Amino acid sequence: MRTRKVKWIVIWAVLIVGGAGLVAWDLASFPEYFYERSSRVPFNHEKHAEALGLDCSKCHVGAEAGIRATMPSKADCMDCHNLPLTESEGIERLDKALLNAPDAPFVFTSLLPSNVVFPHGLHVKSGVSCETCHGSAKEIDAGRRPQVRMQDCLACHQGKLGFPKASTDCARCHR
Amino acid sequence: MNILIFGIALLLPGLFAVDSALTLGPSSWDISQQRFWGTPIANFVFWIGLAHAGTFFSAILLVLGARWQHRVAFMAELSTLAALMVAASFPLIHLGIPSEFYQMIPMGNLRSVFVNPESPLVWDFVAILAYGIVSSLYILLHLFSLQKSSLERFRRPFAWILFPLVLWVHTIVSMDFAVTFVPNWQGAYFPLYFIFGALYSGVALVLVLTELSGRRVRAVEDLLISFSWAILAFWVWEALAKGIWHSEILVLGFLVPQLLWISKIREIQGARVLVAISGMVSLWWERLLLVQPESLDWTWVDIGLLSFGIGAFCVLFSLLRRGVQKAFPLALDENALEELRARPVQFARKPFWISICFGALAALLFAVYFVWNVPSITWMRLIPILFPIAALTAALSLSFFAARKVWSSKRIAWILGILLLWGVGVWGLVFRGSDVSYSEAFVTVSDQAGKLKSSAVDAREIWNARCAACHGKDGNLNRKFVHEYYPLPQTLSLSRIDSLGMDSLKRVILDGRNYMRPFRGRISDKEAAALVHYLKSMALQKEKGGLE
Amino acid sequence: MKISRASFLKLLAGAMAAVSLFGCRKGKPLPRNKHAKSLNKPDKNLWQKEIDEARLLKPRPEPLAPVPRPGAHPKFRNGNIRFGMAIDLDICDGCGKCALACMLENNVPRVTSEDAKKGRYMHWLELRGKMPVMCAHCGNAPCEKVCPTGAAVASPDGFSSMVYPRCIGTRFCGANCPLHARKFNYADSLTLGLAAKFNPEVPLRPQGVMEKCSLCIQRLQNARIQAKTFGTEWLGKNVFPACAEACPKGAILFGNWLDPESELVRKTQNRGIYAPKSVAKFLPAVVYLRGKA
Repeated sequence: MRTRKVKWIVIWAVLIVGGAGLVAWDLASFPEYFYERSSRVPFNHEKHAEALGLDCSKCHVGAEAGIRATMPSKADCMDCHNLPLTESEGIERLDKALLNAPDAPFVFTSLLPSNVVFPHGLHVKSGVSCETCHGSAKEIDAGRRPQVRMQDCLACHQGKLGFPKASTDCARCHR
Repeated sequence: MNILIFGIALLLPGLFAVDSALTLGPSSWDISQQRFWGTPIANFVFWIGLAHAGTFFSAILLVLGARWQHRVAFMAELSTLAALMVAASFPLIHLGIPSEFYQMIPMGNLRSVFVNPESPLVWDFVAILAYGIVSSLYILLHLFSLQKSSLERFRRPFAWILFPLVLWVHTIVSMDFAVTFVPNWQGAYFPLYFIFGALYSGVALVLVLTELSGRRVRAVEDLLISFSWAILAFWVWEALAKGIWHSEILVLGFLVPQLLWISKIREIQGARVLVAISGMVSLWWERLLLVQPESLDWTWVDIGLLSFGIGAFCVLFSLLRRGVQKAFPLALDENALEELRARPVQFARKPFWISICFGALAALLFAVYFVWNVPSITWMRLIPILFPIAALTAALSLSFFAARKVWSSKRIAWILGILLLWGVGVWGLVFRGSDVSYSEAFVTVSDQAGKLKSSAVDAREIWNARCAACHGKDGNLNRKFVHEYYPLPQTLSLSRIDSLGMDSLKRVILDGRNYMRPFRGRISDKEAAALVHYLKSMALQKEKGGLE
Repeated sequence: MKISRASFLKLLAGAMAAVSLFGCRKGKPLPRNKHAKSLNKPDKNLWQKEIDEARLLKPRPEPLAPVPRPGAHPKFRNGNIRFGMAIDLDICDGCGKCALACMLENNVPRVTSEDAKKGRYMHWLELRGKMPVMCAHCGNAPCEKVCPTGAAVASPDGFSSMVYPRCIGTRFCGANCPLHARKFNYADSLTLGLAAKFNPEVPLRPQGVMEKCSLCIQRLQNARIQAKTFGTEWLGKNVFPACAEACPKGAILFGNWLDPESELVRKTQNRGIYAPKSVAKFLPAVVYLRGKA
């Protein structure tokens, strides 16, 4: 009789712990964005954007009118960095590194699923700023990356986030 | 024991087939780019048909008050559970991406996507899920009622819920075919045709199982013969309407069962079993030819899946029977059942009607919720899934009433709490969905991607992107940046632009000058020309503004 | 032979575990970013060869039936765009350039030799006889009706589109398409080296999903986005799918059926309009021209 009781207690405990664990797992798996340094290039967005007043589209050429924001190539860096720009230490090292860098473009794998088109320009035109999804320059430097989830796209397109309503037809974004 | 060993012998090679079906995907069995359905679907229809036998013998005969019902009821109910589990595995194997099956769950637009309630597959999914849960509850109730006679009065109400559900489920399975535009699959008679086919094969299965457990129920043999005539009517109809005629099906499915009219043959146990098996084989073959009327270019996986079905059924069935034998020894003891049957049976009227109301309410709430969230769908299109939802809710509520009879409130509260916890957890998993696991998951962005088309309209955009960092959006220099680091370039007034000429400006853009780096390669010739025009138009604007 | 229950249970659990492990699809870690490598361009002749092979399998053209001129899409009655196509069979000589252009534009994979033997080609645009046949983009599309997840769905621009991540591979749409225009990804073609990213705008489809002619949706979407970004009115002008662009004789007309000025509407005046007999009753947007009306 006692073993029977012990058996039942074990079964109940496993059921409860398992269920609670499942719920906890669900709750933990909904981040809106996360931090992960995805490259070792020590580019400082904050310094370039806020201190110098450069637009995002100086380097991400498509950011304000194109479909994809695009990544800069070496030539885009050299537009400005052909002069030693500051007296801060390390600039020499940077200039030298840039000079020796390969010409090949920098390739960035975005977290946007490849079957989705996200027209950056169209969103900027409708008043959605870069910060809305990407966060501030400081956050980007810390490695913030937006979690692209359709729920978030649709919440905004349905007019729930304060922006005007937009199309929710599948074929407008999926291809 | 023999069934178990037989089952394992078939199941093990079957599992290899299932493994390669899951890893290689549908290319491992015989389908083409024209016929997209193969043996898994034929097996599914066959096993779901067998799964209805249990409910037929147990619920429908109980409702109709057949006297010999209790003699086959347990056997039939256990075979229902086993066959249903086997049947449910086949559509999952059939899927191109089996791990995403949960996308068929109609949960409104909770995940911002909603199912298409017009599709018979969604009806299938809901109906089979409901059927599985309700028939498990039904068999549990039946088992517990052996020990607690106060539960006996809930069995008939439960049977009344299950009885229409089984007809509904198989009607929907027939819809998978009947709503399509494939000529062979069309026909308003399909639901009846499928139901009779299912009951026929189910009767045959129960006959085999009762014979194997060393008993004989003559009424089942009579049923087998009568169903063979019923199915003949449909085959004749098919032949007349569509010209579909397969003599082997006719021989195995109709002529062989007629042997039971001869009493000498009927008295041989082996003959009875063989006749029933021949009926099942003909029905299986018929479903296969329905799904795959042309090529039968089978791979070993096709055969392995057939072996998996039979093996898994035998193993599940004998395990279930052993479990029942251990936990409820009365259930398989015919004398004890005979005694129990003598008990006066009541009908739990009040709980039944309350449960029915709950079911109707749940269906109504679901319809309102779904239509509210997905306005593009009308409630009419939800009807096929509303009934299973209502039946499921009613069965759950009836089980609750039954549980109240035998268990303390505290115990029920514990069970409900655990169920709720698991329900929420599993729901959350479904809500979260699986991660993107495509071979090519994400967009790759480089400087090549998404170049602007060059036209007069977007010269402004090129200017803003490429030039404004130094020259300013209005052409007035970005003072914050340029003043600090660079010697000031000359302002481009209208007169200066005119004196320099468009061509030389274009050259400056492409080849660079002083501190300005060349843009050749990043900007095309045409774009450079458009930029110069834009430059001029900006200067013009400024001139005008200055004049005003 | 008698197996003890414990050993049997172990066996069963082991088998189940093996099955579940084999069936798992692995998630990938987040991609690392890097400098681009120059990729070897795949040999286009392999694709051309496959088209020639597949032609032999289907020597007979689709039977045609006369249909009225396509109008508004039944689900988007108020829309002002219904993209469609008219293939002039009087001009078309079945050279097959459109088929190759389609495969390269849409990164359509080749198939393994076993799949080829079973006729499991992926060609979105295939040549039946000399007739180019692709999805007819029906208004009352049978495929859209039976798709359980809504992966096959009508575009507001009046054609039938596919949402790959929603597709779970039930293949009901394919079973229900009378024209057999839908293709199922039987193989993991990327891993097998049969798929190539000719066009960066089009995603590669994973194993286990359905695909079909999309009317080059990427071009239509890009043109629309461009027009909306620059604030110009968009009526579906100046955008063409790959097959129409590739046709050396101009036999494939593309445009908006609802725009009376479009080349499509003008050039189909007084022509006999036909559709494949099997889909003629579903209001197709892709039609064939033959003779005078």
